[in-house]
Amino acid sequence: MNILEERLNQAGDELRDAVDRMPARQAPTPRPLRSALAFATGVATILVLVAIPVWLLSGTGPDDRLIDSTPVEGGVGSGDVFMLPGFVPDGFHLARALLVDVNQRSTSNPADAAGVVLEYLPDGQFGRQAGEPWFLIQVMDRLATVAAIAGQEDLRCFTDEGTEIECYEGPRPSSCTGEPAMAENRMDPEVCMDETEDRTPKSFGGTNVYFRRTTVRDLPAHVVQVEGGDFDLSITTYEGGPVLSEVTGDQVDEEVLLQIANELHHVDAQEFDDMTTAATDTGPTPEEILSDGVVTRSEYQMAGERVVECLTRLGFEARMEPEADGAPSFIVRDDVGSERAFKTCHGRHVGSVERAWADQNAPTPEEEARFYNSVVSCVESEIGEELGEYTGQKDSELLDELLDTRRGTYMRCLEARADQQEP
Amino acid sequence: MEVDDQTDQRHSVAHDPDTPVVGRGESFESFVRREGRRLLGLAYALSGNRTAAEDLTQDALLAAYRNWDEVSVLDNPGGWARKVLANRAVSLIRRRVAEAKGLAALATSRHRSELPELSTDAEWIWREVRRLPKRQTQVLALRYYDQLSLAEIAEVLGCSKETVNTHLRRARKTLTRRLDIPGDHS
Repeated sequence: MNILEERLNQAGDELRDAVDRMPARQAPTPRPLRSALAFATGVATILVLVAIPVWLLSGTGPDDRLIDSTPVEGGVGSGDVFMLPGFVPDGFHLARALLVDVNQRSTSNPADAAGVVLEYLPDGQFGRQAGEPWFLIQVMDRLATVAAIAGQEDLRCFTDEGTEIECYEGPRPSSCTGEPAMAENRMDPEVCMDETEDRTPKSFGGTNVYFRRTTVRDLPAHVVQVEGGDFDLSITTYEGGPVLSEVTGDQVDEEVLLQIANELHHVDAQEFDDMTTAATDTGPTPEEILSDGVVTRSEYQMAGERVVECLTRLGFEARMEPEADGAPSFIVRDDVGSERAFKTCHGRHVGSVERAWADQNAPTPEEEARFYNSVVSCVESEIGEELGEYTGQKDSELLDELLDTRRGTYMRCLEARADQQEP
Repeated sequence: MEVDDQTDQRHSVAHDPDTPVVGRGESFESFVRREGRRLLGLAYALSGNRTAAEDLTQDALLAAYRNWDEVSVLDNPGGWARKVLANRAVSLIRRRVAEAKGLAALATSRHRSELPELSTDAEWIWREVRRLPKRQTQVLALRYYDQLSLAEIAEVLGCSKETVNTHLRRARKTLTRRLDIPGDHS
């Protein structure tokens, strides 16, 4: 019996068991989160083309596929991508630290790491907010990443205007990351900078972009400055071999970003893990979130992110997807102990927040009655008959009767009223 | 006169002399006892929401009650109820979506009511099953929740065995990809 068949049978068995054991009422179960580094193939193309971590600028991407990690022969050793800043400006804290594999997916295994991402935000802030300063440090084995992206069978490529193009036409192949570079597993900084200087303005069409060469720690580097973009400045340093480091920031002085780039230093995987694990465990606790008696959507999201961090730290693959109402739901890859780990992490980081969110957002009986009565009025006006009033019981006879006898009209009215209520 | 002539002894129930006899065959109450939970589980597989599942089950049982004279003498009254339930699931799910949209726009949202103790993997699988085209969802729910044979599924859905097989094959292919199962993606 194949794996799918087994899993479907098991899912069926579990459902039958659950139905048999069903109590009169039970608490809701939270479910699946998009990885913080969910990977958008279109944006990935920009990454390939211009070497600026645009995919990081907006946080999560729309693609929720899980891609198997693809080891790239000749990739650098994992130790080469672990770097930490020696200088962090006052007023900033490390809000996010991730290891990413060649597919730009977060991973908990240092041996799989083809890059690291560090996100710094103003103190007291745990999610990036419009108008507030931030900066990112990304270190990556760019050749391994490019090779993995190019190897994806379902890779889709887009122009900067969003038009889909053939991936092997247009500006590719890159001379920076092309065959000679792959063969030697090293990039020629001069070739890469020439290419970036040529391509970057095109990639930010309509925006003023300035490119200049510089040196950082005596290594070749370039600066890209953008006016009116998602970020102000990005400093790319050619660390050697296939490895790049990039310090990207918005509303942070250029001198400050340059100092951060200049004081980046290599560490080993263990040191990186020790430093970042302790430093990122600073998001608001459930107690802090509940302290003002109100749970905001972003607080709920942040609590959800802590669940994923918790699971990732325990070695499980997890992601979060926001539901339409803003509530996070969780997807945890099934593994030995994953269920128990999920219950632990969920209970610790989001359980009480979720209950408070549900309480504060539950519709009042009056709101529900108003909504259904507007639907009943709509049906009345369509059929020219008086039907009575919705009494507040969801499964009232009135609604059942309408569903039975006036199904088409009822559905039309229900959907029309729902659309009218769209914010 | 009640005749409980169901051959499946695992589900048979003792006759309650107070049970009103609705049709010429099995009593309606006996039918509900025997099929109620299975219908509820099928409804959950199709809707992913316990409240909606209870509505659907109620709906299907009500339809069976209203037509009990005809339904009770069928070879497979459970199959008839499954057919009603599977078809109504589509309308009811649409209703739920509209409700959710409307109420969310009133700055309200309801907590989803889920089944307890379903593993995250099972939850994920059923969620992916529900994302499939309607007919494929119905086929998989009847196959893996209700454990029906291809012929039984064909009877419930009113189509041929070959059609069921086609839906099953397409659904498996999509799920293999979506559930990230290594190996056969053909």
